[in-house]
Amino acid sequence: VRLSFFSSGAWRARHTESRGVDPLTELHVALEEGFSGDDVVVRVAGEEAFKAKALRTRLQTGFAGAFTVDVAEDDVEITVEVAKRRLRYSQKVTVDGPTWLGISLGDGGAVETRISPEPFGYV
Amino acid sequence: MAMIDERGLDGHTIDDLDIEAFEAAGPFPGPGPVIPVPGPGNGFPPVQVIPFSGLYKPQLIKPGALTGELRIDVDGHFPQMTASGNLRSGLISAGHWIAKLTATGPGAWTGGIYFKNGSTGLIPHTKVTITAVKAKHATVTFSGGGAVDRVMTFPWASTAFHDVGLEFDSVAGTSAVTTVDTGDHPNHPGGLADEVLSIETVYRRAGFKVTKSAGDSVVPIAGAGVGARWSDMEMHDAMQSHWSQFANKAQWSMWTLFASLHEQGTSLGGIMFDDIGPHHRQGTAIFEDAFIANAPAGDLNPVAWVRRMRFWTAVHEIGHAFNLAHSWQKALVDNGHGPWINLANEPEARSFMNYPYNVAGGQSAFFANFGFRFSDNELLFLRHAPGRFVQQGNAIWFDHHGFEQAAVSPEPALQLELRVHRPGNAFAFLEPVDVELKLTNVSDEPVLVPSTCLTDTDGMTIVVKRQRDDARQQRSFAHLCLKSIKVVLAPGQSMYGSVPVSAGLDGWNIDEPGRYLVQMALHLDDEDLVSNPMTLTVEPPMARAEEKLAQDFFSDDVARVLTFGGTQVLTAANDVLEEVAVKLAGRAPARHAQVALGRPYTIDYKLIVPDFSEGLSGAAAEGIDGAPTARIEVQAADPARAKAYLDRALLEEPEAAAEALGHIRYKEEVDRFADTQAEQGDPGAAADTLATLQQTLEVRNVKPSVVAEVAAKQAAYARALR
Repeated sequence: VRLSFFSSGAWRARHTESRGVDPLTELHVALEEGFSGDDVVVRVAGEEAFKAKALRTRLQTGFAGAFTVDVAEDDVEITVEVAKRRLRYSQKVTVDGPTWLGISLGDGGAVETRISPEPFGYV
Repeated sequence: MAMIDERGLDGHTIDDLDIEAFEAAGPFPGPGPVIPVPGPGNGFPPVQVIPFSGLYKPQLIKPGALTGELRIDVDGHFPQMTASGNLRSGLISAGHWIAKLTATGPGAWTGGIYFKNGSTGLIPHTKVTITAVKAKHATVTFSGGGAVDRVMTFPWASTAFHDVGLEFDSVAGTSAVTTVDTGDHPNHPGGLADEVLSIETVYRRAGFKVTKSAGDSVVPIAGAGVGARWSDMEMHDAMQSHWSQFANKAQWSMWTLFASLHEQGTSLGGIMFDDIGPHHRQGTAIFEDAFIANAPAGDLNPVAWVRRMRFWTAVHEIGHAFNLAHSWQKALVDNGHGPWINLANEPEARSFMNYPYNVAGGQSAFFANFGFRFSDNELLFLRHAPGRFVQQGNAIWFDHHGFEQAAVSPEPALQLELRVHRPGNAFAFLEPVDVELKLTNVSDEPVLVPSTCLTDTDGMTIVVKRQRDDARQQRSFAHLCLKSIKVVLAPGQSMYGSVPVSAGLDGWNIDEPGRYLVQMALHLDDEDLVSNPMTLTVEPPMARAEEKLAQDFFSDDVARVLTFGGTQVLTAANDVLEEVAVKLAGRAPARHAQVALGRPYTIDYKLIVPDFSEGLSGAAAEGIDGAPTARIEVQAADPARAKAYLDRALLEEPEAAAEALGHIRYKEEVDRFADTQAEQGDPGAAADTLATLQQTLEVRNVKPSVVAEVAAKQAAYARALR
């Protein structure tokens, strides 16, 4: 897994791993609406891929942070942990080419996701 | 030039330029001017119209009179069939009201008031009946609510609801798209007028009189750092250096920068970047080379698509500067900041504030129904919300993008008085100003009031205005979490408090010599009380040394130390206060300084210090989050040092001290000093201190019940001595 990401005040990490013979492709993950000073960990295929303290959505853009990870073209399990909300959410995402995954916390803290083969835009 | 459209505009448009010509002519003595207006599309003859909609307000205000503004919104672009206004008494923008209207005849409407905000005691009514004569005046009859009808007439002032100034600056090499031809892209609503639409026109149709600053310019890239990608801080710096109208205050004016990319990269098409400092929402940026430059694959006219998207983005970001939230965030409350009225999210709205690609059917579905406009709820906010929620640099970003509905309240049973006890209300240069509050039940019935209403600054709005300057709202340094109980205030009975008004989060409000006006609104459970406007004078410096001291004195740190009553951490501020205490000894500023310097020594003072544990190769021990841990260090009280400061401040010249601090604060400080003396085992000193307090309050004709309370406590300490 190769990581790079952008977020305000986010923990930074870089890690590589090969996963068998499947071709690698990019999974772009964006943390979007609903984060309000949350400590957030995102795991990709069981590995910690993103960790941020006090993550906050900038309301004028609906964007909190993002990272990119190289994964094998396959079903990939994404897990989101938000400590202060005692929230742990997992979802399998089918990655068969460059994929963009948006993760938001909705009403009551429920995780909402959106998946697109195109980049997300914010204004 | 004689046809008048009494039906309202009904989709016909007042040409933007004609609005200015119309207003330039001023109020008209005859039947009113007629404006030639282009029809909604090709082939329509011009329609001659005069709108009822707009702002009505007096040009001259008689001091002390009840006055205000009226906004009628019944015709013109996207009419909301709404009237709103405020009634003002003195400095503080008093009661704000909004009513939904129904037409009852030509130039006549009626409707129920459904929103009140601010000093709602000025608006006990529940209904308005309005008649208007175009371009001349409107008369409002306020009725209902068990109150006597009030009839007010407002002269016509403008076809716009507010004025706003825009300035567009662009980074060298960008195209700065500020207009769009609405018919250029084939995917648009069938009935949409084919016209060249500018950003200014969009906001004129939203209800603003838009003026473009003459300062539009090209920003050299080197002006805010090397590189094509811009950080928020660089843009904030660029705003301050390149915006010809920049001022660190609230004003109906804003700056837009057209640049290539934000440091976030191509995923950010634009941003209202100004959520920095005390005055938010003054600056926005559009990133032309971000994703908004990429038309969808197979689009029929990609060049027109990109131009429309860049135009849409610019209007969207400017909308944020007017405190508009995204369409799907209308109901969102974030950290206590939420909508101005109860609003529902509008995820499918065809509005400048929605994301085109997030609606059902995606961007093509959005633009197929997009009328280049804001939603009705957004127009209601822009036109009728209290101006401070909308004005750039005023309410912080996302605060009051909606507002709470106030309860209807009766005529005030309470009276709030501001006062100081000194001749001519004159204060020395460098002297902090504490104002006394007196809340009196002026009704014939007992009234329940919160016990903390005169100490909880969150429940107060304090406005300070220096002569010839704008009024400034003071934001308190401290937000107290107080347990409040209801206490009974009998008819004629008063309660008292004291509040510092010289400085707050936005800096010093009272600093330079001159005349000031202070007024306050107290927000109680079901009504707002507005105080008397109180004038005070700050005298010129008596010597050059005071002017030199002022350079260090009027700092944020010194303001905080004086407000919180001392520090052992902000040592630079203490050094300044020490200098004031020495150089201005015997004068009022020195007494305030001595109190702040002495109080920290009266108690065991707790300090939070980083905990650098040994045995970790010199590194700080880290908590679980990687941050250094901390420990509490206690510095023991120093009674002798405290006494040296506080004797000079409070007891050696007690009458001068009482005048400098005000009766309430003086009593509190001496009381507190006596208590610490007793706690430290010296009840005799405590009794002596209180004897001085008792005598001073007696001489200054303070209420006998207060003097008796001090006397009883003094006697108790004296008994303890025996």
